[in-house]
Amino acid sequence: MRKIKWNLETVLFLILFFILIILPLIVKSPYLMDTAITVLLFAFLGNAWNIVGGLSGQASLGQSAYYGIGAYTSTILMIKFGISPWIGMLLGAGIASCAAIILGYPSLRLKGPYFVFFTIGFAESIRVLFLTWDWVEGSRGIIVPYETGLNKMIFFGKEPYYYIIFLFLILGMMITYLIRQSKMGRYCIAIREDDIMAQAIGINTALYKTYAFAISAALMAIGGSFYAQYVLFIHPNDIMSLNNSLIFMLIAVAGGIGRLFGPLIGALVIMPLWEYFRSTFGGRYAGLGIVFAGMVILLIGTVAPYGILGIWDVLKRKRTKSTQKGGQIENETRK
Amino acid sequence: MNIISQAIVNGILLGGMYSLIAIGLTLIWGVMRIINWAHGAMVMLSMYLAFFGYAFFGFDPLISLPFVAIIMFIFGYFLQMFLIQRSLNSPWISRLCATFGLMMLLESLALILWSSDWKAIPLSYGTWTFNIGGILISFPRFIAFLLALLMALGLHLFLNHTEMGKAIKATAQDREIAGLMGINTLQIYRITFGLGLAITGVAGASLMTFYYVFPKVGFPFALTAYIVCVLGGLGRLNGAILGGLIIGVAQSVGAYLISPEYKMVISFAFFLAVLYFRPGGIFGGVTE
Repeated sequence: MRKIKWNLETVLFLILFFILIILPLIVKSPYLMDTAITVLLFAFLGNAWNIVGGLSGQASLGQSAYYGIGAYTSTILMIKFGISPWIGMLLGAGIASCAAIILGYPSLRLKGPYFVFFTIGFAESIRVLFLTWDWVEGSRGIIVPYETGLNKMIFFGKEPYYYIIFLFLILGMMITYLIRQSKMGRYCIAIREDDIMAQAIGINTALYKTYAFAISAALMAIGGSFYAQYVLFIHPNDIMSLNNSLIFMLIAVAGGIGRLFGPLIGALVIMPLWEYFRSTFGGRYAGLGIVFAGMVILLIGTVAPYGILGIWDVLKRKRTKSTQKGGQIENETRK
Repeated sequence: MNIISQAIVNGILLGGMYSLIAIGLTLIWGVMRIINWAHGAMVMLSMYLAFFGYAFFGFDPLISLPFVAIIMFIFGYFLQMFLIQRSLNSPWISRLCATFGLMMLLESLALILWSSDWKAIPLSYGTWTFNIGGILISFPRFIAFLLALLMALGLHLFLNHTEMGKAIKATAQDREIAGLMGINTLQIYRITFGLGLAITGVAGASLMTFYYVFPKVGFPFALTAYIVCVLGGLGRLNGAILGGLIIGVAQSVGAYLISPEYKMVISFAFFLAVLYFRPGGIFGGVTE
């Protein structure tokens, strides 16, 4: 255990952590609570994306398929077999991991844009499959019956949901942290930097990519189960859409791709604005949120490729005028 | 039997449309190594341009076609100059984001400005068909198919027999060496992007003769066009044409034999099979 360094970032982080803990005690409006839960859920999902996209450099746009698999597994198990969503959630995570291992395998030899298209195609195929599959209600979607209770994972107020997803987020970020510290994390970063080189120095790239996929898919599925229990309605077009995969990526990239706190920062900045636009402007102007998100992505692509944390690094370096290296991602070679 | 051959003919005509959209994409991809995610939005934009040409001036889409192409060229040129060019030195995931953001921006702006209503142009020849041995061929689709072949031929001649075309090819092969040979590669990039969008403009305008336009119309087309590009090999014109025809026929026949819902699944199955057995596409091509 290293000694904690008391710099500005640690203090800011502790303040943020404290605010997040006491938030439900201060905020009473259900609308704001809903936004807060959305922020945390998407930070959790962005974090799951980050393991595959940020850490291993496999920009998957098919992660919403695993999100959907998780939501459907726990919901089906609860409705048809009366199994508690807590167990269904774990089973869903297992199924999503298996799906990621089996279906992720063919994608391992694909690179760059080919890989991105493959993942989109995979998610779209899964979505169509669920849309046409009668046993899971197909295009009608599933309404989760409203019966409150801890074992049903349905609550009257929003506070329990908030703390559950907050806990999940912390666990998810801890998993990311542990991966980064472990041998696997170093291998994944090597794969991200140069896949062929990594293979040449003896890293089993296929194995570690598959690990990253399986872990990310499991986390996605857990997020999906939570979503199903929170919103109480699931539909393939809602949860498995390409839009969702895009948001996962957007959040991780906006915060700072590959950074531990990237998804949280990204979600904190983007989701409230998104929700605000969505709820304030009705009808066709609801698209303003997407206009805004598009502008953020465009800016990240053109001006600030390392996201908000990248900008923070630049500012910090300007202030201290030190010559030391900033974020480790800065060493990333141009691909 | 007759239905099958009808499905094949329909597939070929549909494939012509895919080819036309894919040609613009494969040009940009092959030369700049940028996936233009906003390609669907560009198709949508040129369809709207053709629609407004009709709504305000009463132009037939086939008459406004050259104007749409010119407008799209200028749009692409400046887009590259002010936006895309800035992302050239970013890591590839960030580069992905640049055109992705553009797509989201354009699609939602279109939604806000022009609403999500489906708009179509009522044309006298819109429903014309001619009958060859019991197989019906739609006239506007046939025109679009001919345009696709024409554009591919024109682009082929341009790339191989003009100074500018050769410069584009040189830049595609090696940007740095081309720069050392005295080619202004950034200028080439702008022209390539403009040219890619101009071809998309042709596709959009001819699509408008038999299709309707709404803000999200482009993405399914673009998604198919990406598959077509990969199928034929990136940066290959003949590949784009052949890939378009293959996917068109596969979708059309698959929709008849299995179910129309699985259209996209069929395309992706093809895509995957090709990537698995020939990672560089049918003709082989530029690899990333």
